[in-house]
Formats: sequence, structure tokens, C-alpha cells
Amino acid sequence: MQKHASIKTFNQISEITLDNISVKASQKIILDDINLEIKKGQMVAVLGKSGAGKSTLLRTIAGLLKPSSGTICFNGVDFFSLGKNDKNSLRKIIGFIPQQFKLIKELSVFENVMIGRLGKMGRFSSMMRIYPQDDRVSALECIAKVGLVGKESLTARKISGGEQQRVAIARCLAQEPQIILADEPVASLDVSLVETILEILNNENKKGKTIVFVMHDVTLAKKFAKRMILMKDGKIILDKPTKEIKDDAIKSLFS
Amino acid sequence: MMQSSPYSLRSTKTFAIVIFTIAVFFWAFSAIDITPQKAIEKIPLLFDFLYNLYPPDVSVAPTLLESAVETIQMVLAGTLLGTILALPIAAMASSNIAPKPLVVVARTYLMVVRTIPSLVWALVFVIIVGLGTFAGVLALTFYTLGYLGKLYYEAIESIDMDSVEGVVAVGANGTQIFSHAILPQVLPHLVNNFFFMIEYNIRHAAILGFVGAGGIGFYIFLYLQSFSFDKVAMALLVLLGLVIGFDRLSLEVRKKLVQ
Repeated sequence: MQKHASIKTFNQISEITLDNISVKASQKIILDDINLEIKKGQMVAVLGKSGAGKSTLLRTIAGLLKPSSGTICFNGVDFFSLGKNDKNSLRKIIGFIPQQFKLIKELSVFENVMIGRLGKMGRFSSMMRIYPQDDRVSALECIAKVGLVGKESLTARKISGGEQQRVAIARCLAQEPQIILADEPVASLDVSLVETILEILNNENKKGKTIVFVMHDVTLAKKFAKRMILMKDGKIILDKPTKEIKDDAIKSLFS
Repeated sequence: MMQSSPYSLRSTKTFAIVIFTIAVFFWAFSAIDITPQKAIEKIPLLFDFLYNLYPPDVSVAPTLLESAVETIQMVLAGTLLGTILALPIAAMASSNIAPKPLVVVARTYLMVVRTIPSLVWALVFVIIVGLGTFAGVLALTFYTLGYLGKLYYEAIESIDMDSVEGVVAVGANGTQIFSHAILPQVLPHLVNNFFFMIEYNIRHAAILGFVGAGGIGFYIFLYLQSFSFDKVAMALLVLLGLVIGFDRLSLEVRKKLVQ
């Protein structure tokens, strides 16, 4: 395994590998010896009851949570063995849509989406909020994609939960990542918007992006994901292509 | 025999506290080397002083207004410089974003700076840079730094770290995390405390002149020394106007910020 990697190594992430990943928090096992391989261009749904470890799995893949043991590798390079700068370079191409949106409530919708572009901007210009025209256009396009035109200047605090979720999605799209990790991306949305957002993720997948999303709605997960991972008590109990998974297996998981 | 109830126990406790408080006050007043008779004898002198204050000498108003402007400049420059210096040190002193050794060093530094009163800072800088407003500006800068540094790191420590993770996740560097995740959350606190500090420094700046650090305080000290109480009265009126003016301005700005 390559210990140190240069930024160039990550021009294309062809695979993500989790080897014996365990996460413990105050003596409680959240993830228990997870082994997983995700290839470029896959659209994977992660299902399971609350507390199964789905969100922790996504945060670990996003490099936001250091596992208690095991390695998470991108193109065979262990993420947590990387230096600070290389970790950041990798984060720039991993998009993460958190369950709790994690917006900066004091900033406007536009500025929150612009956060997705920070990795592409210079230190000084971004600090002074002098955003290049291309980045502004890109952010506005993403706002339009999630249907928030006209709300650009509102502060994130003043919009509804569903709108905040869409801002988090737009922020991730503005980042133009190679991988999108979405934790319950439609949980706070109106029924009418659910399919629109999943269709956006589907389109990103068609462009070659790897998508991993956590979902409660089995029907929707089956409709959009080509591979499904079922989790229970921090373990992966089933990992198969969607068409090979029988309804009984899913039913038993949620029973 | 009477049973001791919780009520009687409580009243005994209250009685002890009252006695103790009175004893503390007696002890405190024992430091004053004056008897009540002497204090009464001094009352006419007080009236004499008040009598001499009136009418205020308007002829010195132009000089005083000029020095008041100097005081305002001194306060604005000192507070602004202090705020700019306080920000990075506050970031280093915040346990939620800085490594522990740095936090200890930054906090110790702020504590030392804060312990020294602005008047002592003024004396130090008068010795180093000489008499005048520059010494005053430096004194206010250091006093502001110590004071705001603490308030700012407390504000940074109270931010929502969860939303910061949203910015970390996009691969933002340290400066970007500060400007886009931390600063927006603490900005209202920063501005609010900045105005509070200006209000506070206006009062302090008047005293700084006593040790030669420029501004209106210099004239107050000068007139007091020459027993020109009518001129002192004029200076106090100008100072009062200044403080009231800034109080109002700061109140209005802070009210707007809260909205």
C-alpha cells in the first residue's frame, strides 16, 4: 500500500476501499469490522434502521471521522496516513451532503453554496469574498438546479428545513466532486421534490460520478440505486446489486 | 422544650450572615483614616469646590473641543488596532479550534495583558515613546487586546462546530474555514463588543491624559493642578457630552445588530 500520495494521484478516484473499519464511541461499537469496496461510477444505497451506523459510515468515507481501527483507501492510498494538504485535496473531490445540512446559518443561501467552490479558489480572494465570475455562475446554476431561484440572498436561518436541505445539495453540486456521499438527502423534502432531487443525483451518476446515499425509503432506493447495502448494528448484513435483493431480505431488516 | 425547626435554623443562618457582612464593612471602613467629625468638617470644602465650578469657563471650549476630537481619534485608533490584534490571538486561544499548547500560551498572554490597567500601559508607553497621543493609542490598543481577546475567544468557543464540519468537508483551508465558518458565527459578538469597548475606552482615555498620554484628560489634569475649577467644569461638560454621544451611538448600533 502506498503510504504517501501526491495530489495528482487523486485526479480520478477509481475505487474506495474500507478494510476492517471499526468505529467506537464511549465504549459503544458504532461500526463493526466493515469491509467494503466501491468502484467509480456506482450508485449505492445504504439502508438500515436508525442507529445501524449508516451516517457514521458516510462520515468515515468522507474522511470526517477517524475510525478506531482499519483503513479507508482511495485508489489504494490510506486517507488517514496523508498529510493535511493532501487530505484537503482529497476532500475537495469528495462531496458530502450531511443529514443535518451543516449550513452556516448566518450566511446567505448564495454564500453557503459558494462554500462548495472554496476548494477551487485562492486563499486571499475567498477570504475577502471576492469570488471569480465562473464560480459565481456555477453557484447560481446549482441554486437553480435545486429550485431555489429568488432565495439567493436570504440567510440560511430564515429558510425552511426542506430549503436548507436543498442548499446543502446545491453546495455539494457546486463543489463538482467525483464522489457524492449523501446522508438522507431527501428526508426533509416535500414529496413533490423528492424525485427531482434523486433525479439530479442520478444524472450526476450518469456523468460518471460515484454516488453513495443513505435512504429510509426502500422503494425509492430500489428505483435509483444499482447496488444496495443493508446495515444492522454497525455491520453490513447484505451487499448486492439491487436486482438480486429480494423484498424479504429488506423486510426482515426493518421488522 | 422547643423543637428546632428548619425555619429557626434558617433564621440563625441569616442572622450570622448579616453580622458577618456588617463586620466586613466595619473592617473595610477602618482603612479610611478619617473620623465622622472630620468628614463633617470637610463638607463646606466640598460646597466650596462645587461653587468654584460654576460658571464653567466657556473661553476654553475651543481648546477642549479640539482635544476632545483628539481623544476620539485616540480611542478609535486604539480600539481598532486592539481589535485587529485580538482576533488572531483569540483564535489561538480557542480550545475548539486551536491545539492545546497554543491555547495555553495565548490565554496566558491575554491574561497578563488584561491584568495591567490602561493607566499603567499609558505610563509604560509615555516612557517608551514619549508624551502625546501615540502613547495613549498604544495604551488603549493593549488594554483592548487583553479585554476583547478574552471576549472573542469565549465567543469562538460557543460556535456550532457541527456547521464548521460542513466547510471542512469541502476541503477548505484554515483561512477559509475561519472566514466562512467561524467568523460569520461570531461577527455579531465581535461588532457588539467592539462598540462596547469604544464606549468603555472613551471614559478611560480621559484619565490617560493625566499621565501625559494626550487628549482631553491632559487639560483636566492641568486645570486641576492650577485650581482653575471653572475650566475643569467646562472640560467635564465636554467629556460628559462625549460619553453621552458615544453611549447613544453605541446603543443604536448594537440595537440594529440584535435585530
